Amino acid sequence: MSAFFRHRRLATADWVVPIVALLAVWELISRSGIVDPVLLSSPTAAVGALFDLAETQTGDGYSVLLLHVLSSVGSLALALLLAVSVGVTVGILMGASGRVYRFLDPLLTVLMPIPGIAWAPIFMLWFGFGMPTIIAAGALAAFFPLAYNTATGVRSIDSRLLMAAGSMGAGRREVLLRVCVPGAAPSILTGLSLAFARGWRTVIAVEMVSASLWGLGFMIMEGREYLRPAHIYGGIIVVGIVFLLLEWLVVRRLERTTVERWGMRAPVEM
Amino acid sequence: MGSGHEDMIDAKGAAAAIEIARVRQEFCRDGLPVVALDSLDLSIRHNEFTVVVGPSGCGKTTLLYLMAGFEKPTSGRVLVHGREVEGPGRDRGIVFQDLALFPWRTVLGNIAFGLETARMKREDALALAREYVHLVGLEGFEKAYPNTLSGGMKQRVALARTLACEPDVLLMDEPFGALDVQTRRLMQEELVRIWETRRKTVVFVTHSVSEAVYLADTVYVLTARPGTVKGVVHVDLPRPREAPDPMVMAKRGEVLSLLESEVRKTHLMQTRPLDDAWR
Amino acid sequence: MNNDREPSRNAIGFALPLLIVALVWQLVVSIGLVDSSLVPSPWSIGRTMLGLLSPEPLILSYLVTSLYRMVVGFVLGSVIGILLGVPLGASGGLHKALKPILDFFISVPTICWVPLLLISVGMGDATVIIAVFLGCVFPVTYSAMNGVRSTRKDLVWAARGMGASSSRVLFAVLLPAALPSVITGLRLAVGYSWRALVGAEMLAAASSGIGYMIYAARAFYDVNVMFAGLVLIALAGLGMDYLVMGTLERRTIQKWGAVTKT
Repeated sequence: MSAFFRHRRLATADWVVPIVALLAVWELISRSGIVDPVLLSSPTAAVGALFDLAETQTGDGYSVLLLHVLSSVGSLALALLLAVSVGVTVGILMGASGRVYRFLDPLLTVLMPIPGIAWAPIFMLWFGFGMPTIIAAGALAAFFPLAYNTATGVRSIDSRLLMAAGSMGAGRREVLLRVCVPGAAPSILTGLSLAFARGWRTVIAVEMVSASLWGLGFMIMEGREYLRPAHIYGGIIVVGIVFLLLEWLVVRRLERTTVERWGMRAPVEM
Repeated sequence: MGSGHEDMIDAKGAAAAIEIARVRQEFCRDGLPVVALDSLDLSIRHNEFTVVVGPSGCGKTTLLYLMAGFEKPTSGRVLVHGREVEGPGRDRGIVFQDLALFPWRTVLGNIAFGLETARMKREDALALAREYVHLVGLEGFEKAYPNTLSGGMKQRVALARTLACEPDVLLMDEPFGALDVQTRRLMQEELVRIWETRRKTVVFVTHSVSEAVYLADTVYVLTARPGTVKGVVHVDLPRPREAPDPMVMAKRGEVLSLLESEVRKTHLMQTRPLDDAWR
Repeated sequence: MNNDREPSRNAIGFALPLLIVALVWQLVVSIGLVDSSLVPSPWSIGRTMLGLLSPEPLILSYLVTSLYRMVVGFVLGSVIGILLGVPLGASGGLHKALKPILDFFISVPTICWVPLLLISVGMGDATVIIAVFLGCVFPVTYSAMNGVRSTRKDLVWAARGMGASSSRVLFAVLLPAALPSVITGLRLAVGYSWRALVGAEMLAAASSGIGYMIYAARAFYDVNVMFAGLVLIALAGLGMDYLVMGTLERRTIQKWGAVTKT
């Protein structure tokens, strides 16, 4: 038992030590003044700025920082909801039908390299300045990896699984729903992981570009407006932490309860 | 001339459950035509345990897939219970060598799959599935996922799953090929035990002569590619059939002599390993 | 039953669906189902693009500017990424110490760095180039690191068994073994560079570049220019991936038999 605990403690220490070291070095560098304080504020200043924002309250009494975080996370959640429902459906259709795949593949190939943020100005024209634009851009960015990975997953299902289902009396639609979808789960989860990353980046980016009132991206831009680099650094830290947290809470947990429990693993690429 | 009823009973007893009539199976591989089976005639008797042996790549798996309905013959007919095979279906259950268990379903879930497809009520399906769990001796493992089971246990699940659909015909494609020798022996015994409890028509494909003689009522020996029937050996010995018994050894000898020259022929052919090619 | 292999991409198979969609799109806009001031038709986009070629080839100069910025940033980022990644992969100690830091930096969206750059460096080429650099240095470091790290141990042992020194092992075994991973990483980095470029140009490019073009056009409600920008980005992105990376890949790892999956 104690070996188990030792292992856990070491794993945590693995990343704690380097991060703390980084913070310490950072603090030293900024204090020494080698770098212009305008460019590099110290971690303490950044954290201080975060606390400020956390304590600042709107008229309704909510912490400003919290609202920014919730706004971004909320946008991401809605964007992912949209992307998953459309993306997985399209992916299944593409995986199941060669015709659909051959028709959609060129379209997706052409659209995929366009970064989500490039769509922002158009969406701003169509949807205005607020959340709809952010969600739309995030959903679009998240859609592609989901569609492609789902399609790949469905196509690469061991054909013997399909045969077995057929021999047990399952019709085409049943096979699709009860065998193809779970069978493609590892790939779908890979797609989800990518979608998460792309979606988050796009949400933050679009918040910075559009004049949204809330969101971590907007918060960072404010730091620039008021020439407060501490705000920017604080914002960056929060962006990174929130993303890591979300990934761990959602994607990893999903992975554990499905793909890992079933002993299925998707081919791992970068 | 007896009454029509008698005729039918007679017919069922003596007629074939599966009839393969002058079947030829061709397909394209890397642009070249390959003839897997040619002029194949065979008759599988009702409720009999039939084993098909042959050298690697002789088309045994193709034959099974034709019976299962995954493929249609290039020419000739495949009849099951007098009717041509249109596609896969519950009446012909199949157990693959690599099992094809659904990794996302528990043991019980896998076995119940076919029952759910038949639109049973959930409680009934699960209850029936449990019976089959018991039949194959896996009590206690209902909630386990396939990736946690040993090879022999996985085989039992695959068997139970197919049996649960109550097929008329059971097709088995070298199901024990991936098991170690001891587990294989155990599974052969299990299979015979289960079969004697619930008689069905079984078509079992294997490489192994001793396995064939242990299990079969009738053994068909196929030639090297293109596969056709080289010979038939009837094994009317009581079960279980243990090795030291001279009658068993004699039967093995019979099958082996038919098989040997075909195996040599296969080795001489310039072919790549074909185990998975014959589909 | 899915026995079809990957449908081969030939030119017609690729172009046909696109043409069909373009036609349908054109139809929908012409009929008036969609407001053409919100969604321009392919025809008007094309005309706008041609219009931007004369009297001054504005669109070309924007494209060239963007490409220039991207290439500089990409090359810098890739080179430094590889230089950083290889030691990280080769040395267990360095890996342990620095990987968590890399993990953190990689999870920060590149565009978040732009406001800092705006404060310190200001608008213009330099900011955009640095943004592109930041966009691809971390992923390339990551893939170089992973590539080196995942070299089969027995290859290294075989080399040492034949008397290779540490540096020889590095250059003759680790680097080639890491190449597939590095190339995959570079391929991905092209995408990331584009993303960084467009975002940075929207915020910091002042008066040139495709990203700027799209962003500025919004103020004038000029949907034609905006879509034209998108088309250019798509084409450029495709072109870069296919031409540059495809060629690179074909000349090296595909020859060696270590084909990468996309």
